[in-house]
Amino acid sequence: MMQQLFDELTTNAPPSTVDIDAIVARERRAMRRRRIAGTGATALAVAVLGLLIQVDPRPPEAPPAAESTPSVETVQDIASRLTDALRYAVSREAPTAELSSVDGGAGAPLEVSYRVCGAAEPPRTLPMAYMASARVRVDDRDAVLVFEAGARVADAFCAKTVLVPPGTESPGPAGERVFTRLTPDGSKASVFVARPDGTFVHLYLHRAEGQIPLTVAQLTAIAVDRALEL
Amino acid sequence: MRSEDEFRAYVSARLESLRRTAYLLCRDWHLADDLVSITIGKLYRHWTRVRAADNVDAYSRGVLTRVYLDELRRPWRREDATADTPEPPASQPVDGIVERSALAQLLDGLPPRQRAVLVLRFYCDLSVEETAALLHISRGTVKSQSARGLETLRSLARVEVSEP
Repeated sequence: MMQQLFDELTTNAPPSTVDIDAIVARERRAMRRRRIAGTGATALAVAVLGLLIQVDPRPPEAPPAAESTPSVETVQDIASRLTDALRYAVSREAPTAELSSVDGGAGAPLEVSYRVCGAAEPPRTLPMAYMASARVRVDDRDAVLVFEAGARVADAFCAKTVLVPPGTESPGPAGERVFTRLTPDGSKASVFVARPDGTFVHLYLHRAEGQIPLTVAQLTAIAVDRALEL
Repeated sequence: MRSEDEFRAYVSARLESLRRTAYLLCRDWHLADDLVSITIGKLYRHWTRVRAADNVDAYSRGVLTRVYLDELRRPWRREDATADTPEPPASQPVDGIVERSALAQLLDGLPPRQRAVLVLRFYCDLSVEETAALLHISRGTVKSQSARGLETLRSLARVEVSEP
């Protein structure tokens, strides 16, 4: 009976907008990029190492390798860097905060993952979005913290996010536009930082009822942290 | 590439089924297409692992369900960008029969996880064990969520039917 009822609900399906060819082409390109990025980083490291061995005969205690930074940062590198920066910023602003996974999920708290934006519309250019979440507990109050960062605030996909924070706007320390919002009952707050280079960071903290455990000022200090830049 | 041909053939054959499952989960055809696109991308990336699974369909639905639950965590999915909430269409149940739109509303009233359990169990026809494995929850949770979900649907249906 349930099967029949469910079937009835889907009888008037509109035509599909899913373009399998475009998705496959996009995934192929992404795989190629990842491969090239990986190969490029390795080749660069080998070249730098070779150059150092040839040019600099100093003993190993002189650390030239520490000064060389890879010019290609893969999305995995960025996600890893953001994870460290985000955890550090939260612990700095709320030293007593305890972090745990949301809904007891397998993902580590505030571990940043990434995805391609706007998958359903192939002609659109596809920037990456980075996101993380955690349950934050301070004293006897806990709430879910959602972090997001993206490459282009003006992108159509990200525009959905832009709709969220028509709260109070104020300037950030490095020329950012900071939008903050706190619901009247104090159970939800969001801080959206639009950077001059077009990237954005969005923090959203919410709980079912009662006051959230972090203040908007603490959230803002985390969101404008330069280490969270893409 | 033979593997890619195989992937295309599989996805083309299952596209409508995946869309319908996604729609039942999220109750929005546009979002359903979004979820299916993301799912297809993930399946493509891990196709070697996917095709080696015992039940490829169950695996795909599992990916789709997790994509849906992940999507719910996004702030803009929780936030309402409009000031006004549209009035729900008035349902006119006749003789205890809950019409389609009323059932849709009832389904909308369920929490996402409970809805996911119901869709996987009773639409995708997955076993308790398969559903538990896909959602990373215990079998007991699946059973209780199924029972509670069905009971909610029944009680909502009773209320719906008894309204003048």
